[in-house]
Amino acid sequence: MQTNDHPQDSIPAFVLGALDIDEALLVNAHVIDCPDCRAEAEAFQTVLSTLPYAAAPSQPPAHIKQQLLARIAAASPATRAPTPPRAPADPNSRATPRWMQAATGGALALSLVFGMMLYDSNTHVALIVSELTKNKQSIIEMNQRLAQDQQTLTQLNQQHAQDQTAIAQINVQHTQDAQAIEQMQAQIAHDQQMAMFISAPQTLPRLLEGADRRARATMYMQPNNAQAVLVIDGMPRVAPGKIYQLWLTKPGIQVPSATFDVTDQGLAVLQINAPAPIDQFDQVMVTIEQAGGATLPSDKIVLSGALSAALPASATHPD
Amino acid sequence: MTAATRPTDDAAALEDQALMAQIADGDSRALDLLYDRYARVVYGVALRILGEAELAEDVVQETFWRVWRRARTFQSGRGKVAAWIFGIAHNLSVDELRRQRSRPRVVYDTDEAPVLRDREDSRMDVVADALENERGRLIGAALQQISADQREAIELAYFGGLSQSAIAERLQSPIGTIKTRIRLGLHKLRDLLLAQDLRAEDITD
Repeated sequence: MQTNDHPQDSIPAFVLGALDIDEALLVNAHVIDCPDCRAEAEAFQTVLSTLPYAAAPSQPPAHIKQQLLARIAAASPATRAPTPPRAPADPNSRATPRWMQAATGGALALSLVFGMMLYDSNTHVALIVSELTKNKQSIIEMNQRLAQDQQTLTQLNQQHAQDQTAIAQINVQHTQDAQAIEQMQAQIAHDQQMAMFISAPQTLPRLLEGADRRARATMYMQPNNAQAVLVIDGMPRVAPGKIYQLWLTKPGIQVPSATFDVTDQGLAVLQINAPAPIDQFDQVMVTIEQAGGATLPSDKIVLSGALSAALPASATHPD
Repeated sequence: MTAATRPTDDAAALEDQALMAQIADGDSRALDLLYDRYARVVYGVALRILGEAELAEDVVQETFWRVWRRARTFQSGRGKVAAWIFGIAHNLSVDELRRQRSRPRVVYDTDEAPVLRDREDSRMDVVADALENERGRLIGAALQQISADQREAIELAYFGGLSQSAIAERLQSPIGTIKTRIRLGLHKLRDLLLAQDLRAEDITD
């Protein structure tokens, strides 16, 4: 309960000692600090102090007062010498009340709490012990929570390290993906370029024929252009240790060009960058060579076709 | 309450304060007088709470022993002497009641019937007699004017030493109902006592 949160409804029961200990302690702490609530509590205390009159006042036995006065006399240094008067005739008389014999433990009289006006040392001690016990318990609980929190923190740190590793992995993956995307974009650009090249109005297709007639190829070329595109279909994968190689030839000259293999579907699309305009060559052919390529073509020719015959007259080589 | 009773209260209050000052100075005769004034009420309330004379007698002796020992710490501006004494007695009684409850029930020898002992001790304090009668009448009348439910809850708390939750359990009522009865009952008691022109300072001083 906060200090500015007046527990007015609880004050009557508090003064009556009818609150449970937790609430009583809260109200007590408030009442001590809050003049308004303290005044309220004192007003009810005044009402309560009339209740004993409703309990049929009764004269206690005479020996009680005698014992009390004897006790006072015995405790007083000035009057220690005389023997305290006792009530010897009464067999029930006891010099020491049971309060002195009883251990301090036991229940707590909540009504004692109020504002120290009805201060009682035993109960106050019990209260303090109770609060101490609670505080100790709180400290134990807080330590447990602290240990749990530290454990959680360790776990979180581990998780954090794992997360960072995961993030690093994701970053690597991301970089790889970005590179792949770049490659794909480059491929797309390349493919688009080739598609544009192939579909350009000045492009001329030239068919190449296969030795086994299953393979087909089309050479796309333009007049006075060193670039060309070769699209191959229906060719088997080259044997292990071997490679397909493209050649551009004219009488006396055989220029080695790209080496390649086809896909499982027998496809290949080659962009050819020749050392001279394609139309200066007479023929194109594909041979099977040792992996790594060759400088002179073998005799294993799998595709071949003439180039110059297909070109328009204007672009035809002067030869 | 009529105005005529006030001088009695005021005189009693003045006497109480004077007695406390003397007790604080170590005058045991003053304690003797204070005992004569309030021991009957203390014994009555202890008997009502504990239901056993021997225990109630211990409460009486211990209450006035503490008055003697703590007279110097009593702050006259804070509480009234009677309220202070009754508070000590009430707390001792409730403490003992709870100790008794936490123990196996002891069967006391009825032959010793301590309530009947020492009846010869007579009243000495006429002023206290008048106050006791008047206050008993007033609080008795006020208690009759609040509802039986409210009175029961207040009595179980004050004379039974029970908390609100224990009362709710015993009466098998919701805790909120008990809280309301105690709160409204005590407010009503306060209003009734004030309405009878019993000013706060009159009640206990």
